[in-house]
Amino acid sequence: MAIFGNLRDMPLLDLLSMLGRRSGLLEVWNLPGEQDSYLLALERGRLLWVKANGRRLDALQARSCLFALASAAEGAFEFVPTQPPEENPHLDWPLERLLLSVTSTQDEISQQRSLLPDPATRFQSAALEVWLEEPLYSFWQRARPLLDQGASARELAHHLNISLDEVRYYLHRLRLLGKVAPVRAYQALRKDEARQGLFQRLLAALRGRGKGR
Amino acid sequence: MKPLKLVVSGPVGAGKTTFIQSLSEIPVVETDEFASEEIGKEKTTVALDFGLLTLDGAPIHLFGTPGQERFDFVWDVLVEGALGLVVLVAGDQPAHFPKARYILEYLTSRHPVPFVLGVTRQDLPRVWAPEDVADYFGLPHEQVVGLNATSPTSATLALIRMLELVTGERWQGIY
Repeated sequence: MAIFGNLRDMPLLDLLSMLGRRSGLLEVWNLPGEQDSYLLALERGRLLWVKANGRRLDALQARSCLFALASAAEGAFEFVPTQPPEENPHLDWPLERLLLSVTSTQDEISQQRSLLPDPATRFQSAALEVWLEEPLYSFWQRARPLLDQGASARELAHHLNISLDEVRYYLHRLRLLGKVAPVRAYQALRKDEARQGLFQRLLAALRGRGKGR
Repeated sequence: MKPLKLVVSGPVGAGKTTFIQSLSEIPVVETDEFASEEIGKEKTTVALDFGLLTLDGAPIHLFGTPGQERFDFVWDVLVEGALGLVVLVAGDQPAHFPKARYILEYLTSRHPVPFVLGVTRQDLPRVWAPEDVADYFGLPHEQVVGLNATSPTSATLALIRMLELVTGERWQGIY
């Protein structure tokens, strides 16, 4: 007996829900436009680890992978019942909560799409100390070195190897919490004396124009 | 003298074309076409608006960007090397604030250009105050000005504010 099929007919969230408390390895491959194959280790209702092409993913990447798989329109899968081998990092995430989290993130991205920043808009970290929940905390930890220098969602997605939509969503959330702010490129520019002189001349002319009206 | 460039941007219906008309010494070159979708008005800018302002003998080219998102590739081209940027948003249209913030943050995070945010339609009875809009955008209050785009004086004061911010010369009087 085997559990196999295609995400086209049985989306990932349905599949994980159906697998419930089974233990084993779930492989997903043949995703549209992707060469990668993914392996998820499940043990009695918990996700132990995720691999992409044999490479273990960290917590942020694993969540991003699940997010992508949950959104995939198609992709072959097969579940092999077994006792999954121990691997690090050991996620040990409860599947029920994970499914809820992925679903709510998908909904929020969909609802807030018009509020999300452009992929090329640059952000930088702000000094405000606020308490962050997962997955925002993991994202912040990984993204902070780049955000300290200023980075766009596109750059972060590339460096962290997670989806662009997720990064835009995280940046939007972090902005609301005051942890990041958009870069103001002009403020970072060294003051140009010649330019300052020009601005002063134009300002004087504009004030004169204002008086004349 | 090489012409300087000032860019006016913002969502559809913010008053960009009117703002340029208020400042320009020449008839504004418009590229208005009938809107192919419902945007709250019959015609809209599809490429750019162009006007001219001369200050202290220096010609300043005034460029207005198209407001619709599908023409956003024009934004970078126009803002590159600009002297300043005025982003306008209609104060009676809070639904347009997210789009205006999107445009403002996209442009000012990528181009080192001084800017001011203008909140138009201040002549209407039910309109957001500039300081409230500043809080929404996360900007210092002095970087946001209320204005009436049809008024040349109002448009001029917006430019004065932008230059005051970069020179640090704050004028205290009243014309």
